[in-house]
This record gives sequence, structure tokens and C-alpha cells, in this order.
Amino acid sequence: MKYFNLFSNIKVTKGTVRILVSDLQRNVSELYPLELYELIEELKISSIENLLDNYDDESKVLVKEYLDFLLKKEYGFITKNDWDKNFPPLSYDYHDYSTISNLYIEMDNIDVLQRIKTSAENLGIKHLVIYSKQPFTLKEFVQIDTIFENSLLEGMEIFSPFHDNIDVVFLKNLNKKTARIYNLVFYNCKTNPFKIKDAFRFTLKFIKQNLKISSCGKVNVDYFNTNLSKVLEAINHNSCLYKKIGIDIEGNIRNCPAMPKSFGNIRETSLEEALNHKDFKEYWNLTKDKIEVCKDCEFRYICTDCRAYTEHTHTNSDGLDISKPLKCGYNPYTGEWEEWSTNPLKQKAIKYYNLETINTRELQ
Amino acid sequence: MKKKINFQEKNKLPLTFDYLEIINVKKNISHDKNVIYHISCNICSTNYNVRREPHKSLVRML
Repeated sequence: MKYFNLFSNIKVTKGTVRILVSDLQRNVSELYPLELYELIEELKISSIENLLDNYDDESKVLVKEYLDFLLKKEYGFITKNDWDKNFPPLSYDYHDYSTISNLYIEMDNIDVLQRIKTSAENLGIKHLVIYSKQPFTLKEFVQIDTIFENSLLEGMEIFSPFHDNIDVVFLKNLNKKTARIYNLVFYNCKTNPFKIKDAFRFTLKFIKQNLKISSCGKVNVDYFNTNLSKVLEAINHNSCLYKKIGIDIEGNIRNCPAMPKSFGNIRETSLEEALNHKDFKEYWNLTKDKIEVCKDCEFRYICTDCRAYTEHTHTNSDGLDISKPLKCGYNPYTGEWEEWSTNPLKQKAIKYYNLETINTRELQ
Repeated sequence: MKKKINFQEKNKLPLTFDYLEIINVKKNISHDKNVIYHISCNICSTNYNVRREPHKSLVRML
């Protein structure tokens, strides 16, 4: 008897019309038809010989083709006799040593960073995202980086408006004098100002649109991530809000700056105190499996959720919003992507969030 | 009698060694995922840490 064993780092996610096979070692996801899922499931419980017996001669050829395909893609291996018990499945538990893994700040003054520095250390924050309404000078960029010098912060991402003083020299200096920035986005940049020959230690983007905090929450293929930590987090927790903390422009502490509930202001409340509020973590364990529409989607474990902008159609017994993210244009029941902002069924929610003033291109 | 020393290689060296050439390629310091940047960190006993990107897109604005 021969058995086909799926490698434990291959995660198969079943959708309504197709499946997603995620290779969590190579960090690649691929889409396949539903019938492959049925075959993989059958192979888990029966030997190849027994499985082939269930099919007629014509279908046997197809099953063999599928098997060859699974082996060619290195999704699994064949063993003689039933010794697959020697290959235990991968644990889907998720562990993150920090109390809060990422902090997202909407700010117009860098003083707020000094105020939260100690709390950020206490909570073991690893990543910081800054969305600034004010353009930063070189000195301010360096100052931001210096505040977290010698800290446990592993990286930061900054969204800042473009200004005329930003040129190649500016960026070269920024590259030389800062260490923790890994992504830098200059928005409201009407023209692409210069060609960058040198590459920097951070990813650099010039965006024409005037980004706002309400621009966040988009769901598209570019934001899908296939890696073990990401998938395990999504299986067990909310893929966006788990271990996230946000501070809005007025200093209100929230789970995300775009979320409606505030848990105190940074002027009077520390991040630790806000975190201890009984409702702060209410969305942390709301997985995609509990969200309407998303629960039937094959991308649910590689996609990152959004609870700040949803279709506002479903609430669970605990009063949590379990509606599909508003800015997702994917229909898992047809397997097709469409423009979300023009979808007539979403217009009510778009109006609710006052997003109708933002033109479609900006929403893209 | 002078000892005959044969420095000749018995077997032919592989082709790659015959044409070994050092090429000064301009190092690409782009935000290459294979490049590991270190950052200072007093809390770590080594006094440095590795700059890491999160495992997911923390904000999805673009």
C-alpha cells in the first residue's frame, strides 16, 4: 500500500469555488480547482490503491495526473505502508512574545513620540507606523529615528506629505542618518520629482494622492502575505487588530486610529492603562472564519482584515461587527474581483463613513 | 642530485578556476530582502538588533 502525505507546511484553504494552497516554507500561494481539495482530503484517509479503486478507468488517469502534479509541486511525498504517523502535523498555535506588536500613530507633532516612548518599550512594540499630516524636515526624520535609538523597536514605516525640499541629497542624508525606517511614502506628490539612481535602505514611494487615515483598509492581492507567522496569526486571531494599538490625531488611544472606540487620551492615559480596558481587545480574537463572506473565501488566512471600514451588514451576539471589509472587491462565490467603490450594495456604507467625497481613483 | 619537484597539477583544474576573474560589481544597497540591516539596541546583550519588517502589511493605504 502506498500513501500520499501532504507536507505539514502546506496549508490548504478551501473557498467556495476554488482552493488556495499556501506553501509556508517557500512563502508562495497558488489557486487550484475544488476537485483537487477533495482528492487531497481523500488521500489523507485512504491509500493510493484504495483511492484509485473508487474511480473508473477514465478517471483513474486524471487522478494519477493530479497525484503527479502534487508531487511535482512538492506539496507532499509518497510512503510505503501506513507510516504517515511518523509525520505529525504542524501546530497551528500562534505565539508572539510582545504585549503589543505594532503601533500606528496619526500625528502632526513628533512630541507625542517622546510621550509614548517608555510605554512602547514596556509593551515590547516591534513596529511603528507613522501617518503624518505635516511634512517632515530632515531634522525631524532624524529626530524620530533618534527617539527610538537603542530601543527594541525593529522597524518603522512613515507616511508623510511631499515637499519641495525633498531631493536626492535629502534622501541620501536620510539614508545615512536613520536606521529603523524600512518604508517611506511621500504622498500628495503631484509630479514625480526626480529619478532615483541610488537605492536606499528603505523602500521609497512617491504617491500622487492625498492620503488620509481613511485611505486604509484596502484589500487586494498586493496586500496578501504568505508566511508562517502571518497565516498562524490569521488562523487564531484578527489579522489586523491583534496586538495593535493606535493613536489618532487628537491623541485618543484606540485599537486602530480609524476605529470608533477610544480608550482614553494620551495626555491623561498611558498605553498600558488603555490596554487594560475590558473592551480594548474585543476584536482581537475575531478571526476571518467568523466574518461573513470572508469565512467562505480561500484567501482568508493570507489576507489582512479591516474592522474600521466594513459593509455594516452583520453583528454577532457580542455586538461585534462581523461584516465583510468594505474595501474588498473580491467575491468568493464567483471567484471574481471587481471595483468595490462603485458597487451599488456598498454605497450605503460608503456614505456612512463619509468616503463618497474621495474619488474612485484615490480609493484605488 | 637535484630533486625533481613536480608542481604540475595531476588533474586538470575545473574550468572555473582557469578563468577566475574578480569583477567589481557595484553593490546594490537597495532595500533588498536579502540584506540584513542592524540597528543599535542597548537592551540586547549584543548591543545591536536586526532591523525587521513585519510579517504582514500593517497599513493598507495605497
